[in-house]
Amino acid sequence: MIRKVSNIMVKDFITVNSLDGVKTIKDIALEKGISYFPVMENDRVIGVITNKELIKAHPNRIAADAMTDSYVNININTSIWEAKELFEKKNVDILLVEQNNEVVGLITESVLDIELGKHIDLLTGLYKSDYIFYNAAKLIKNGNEISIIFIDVDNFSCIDKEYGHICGDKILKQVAVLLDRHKPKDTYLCRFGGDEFIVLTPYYMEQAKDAAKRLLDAVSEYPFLNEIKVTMSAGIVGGRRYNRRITEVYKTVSNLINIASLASAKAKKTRSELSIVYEADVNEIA
Amino acid sequence: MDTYKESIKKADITMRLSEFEMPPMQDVLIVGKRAPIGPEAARRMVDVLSPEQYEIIKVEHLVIEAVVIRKALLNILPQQKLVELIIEEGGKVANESMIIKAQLNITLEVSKSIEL
Repeated sequence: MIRKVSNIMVKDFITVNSLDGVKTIKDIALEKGISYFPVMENDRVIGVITNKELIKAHPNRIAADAMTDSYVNININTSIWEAKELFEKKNVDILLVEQNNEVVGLITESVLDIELGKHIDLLTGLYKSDYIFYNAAKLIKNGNEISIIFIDVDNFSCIDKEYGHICGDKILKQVAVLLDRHKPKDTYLCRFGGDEFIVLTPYYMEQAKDAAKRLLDAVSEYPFLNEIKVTMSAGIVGGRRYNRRITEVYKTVSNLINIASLASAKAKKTRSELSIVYEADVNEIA
Repeated sequence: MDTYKESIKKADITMRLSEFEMPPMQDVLIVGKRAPIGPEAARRMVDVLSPEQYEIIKVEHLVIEAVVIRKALLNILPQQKLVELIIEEGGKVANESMIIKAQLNITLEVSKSIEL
């Protein structure tokens, strides 16, 4: 399941009053080791004070004169990926997590990065599949077309056996670099596992097919170490717009990935590089 | 020989009395970025004594954070022109840890002719 901010938020935070002095807040920060303080007035958050403000502000100032508005309120059900997007887009220091119009937690970028680090594949540096689930859900919610390209390396176990696992790892790393470099900008790439990669696209089938061909060509034309010939096969699924009111997006996307992986296996069997599954009816897979 | 001398302890008191200024700031406060009192504290202070008469205007300046200005002045001159003038002159004397009190005397001269 896609992780939510409620799973990682800091719950034991301390709020300060708008008339509290900076020196008092500094003392609390030092004593408790806290770096972020929501500033309250009439039971409402009017700003935040971070370590940055505590260093800059004169100790005689009140919180209202030291605080920053570099924060955004988010709902407790926001996904960690959406939280990351907010940090990047809004360039804020902190996210205040709300439930029933009350701040119940804080998310800092460092807390979020630690969590997101768990979703990054250590070998290739690509995101893992959770990233694809989140973005697929977002595309569906926004009424976009989606197609999923499932790509895997042909005979990768033979490469491992013949040239060793270190060599195999180097090839996987290079494949990841090539896929990342050649994927269209509005698509999302992840390492699904082993020698398998997924590209999520907001495209109709034909456009997804062109993108997949370009990716396969980029890999097959690249001069890998020891002059090892590396080719890949791909399965594509998509071809219809999904109902944005699908309630079980996770299940829907799981099924799409499964169908694409079977299509990729079929392509490998038939040595046809690409195998395409046109989705007939979303109700069959949802 | 007796070396002890008599000592006298005394205190001199000087008292200066003057009328309390209402409010303690008159027209404008120019608040430096690292001043011990921030613009919000200044506004709240005068708000207690003279409610809703002052406004904070945050400014983009090297050392000045904001000016706290008497609202009535903004009815006489456009805000942008007034703030520009205050910042131009205040910026010459202020540093970032200072709070400067400024008094403005604005005289409007109007001359009209009418047809007889």
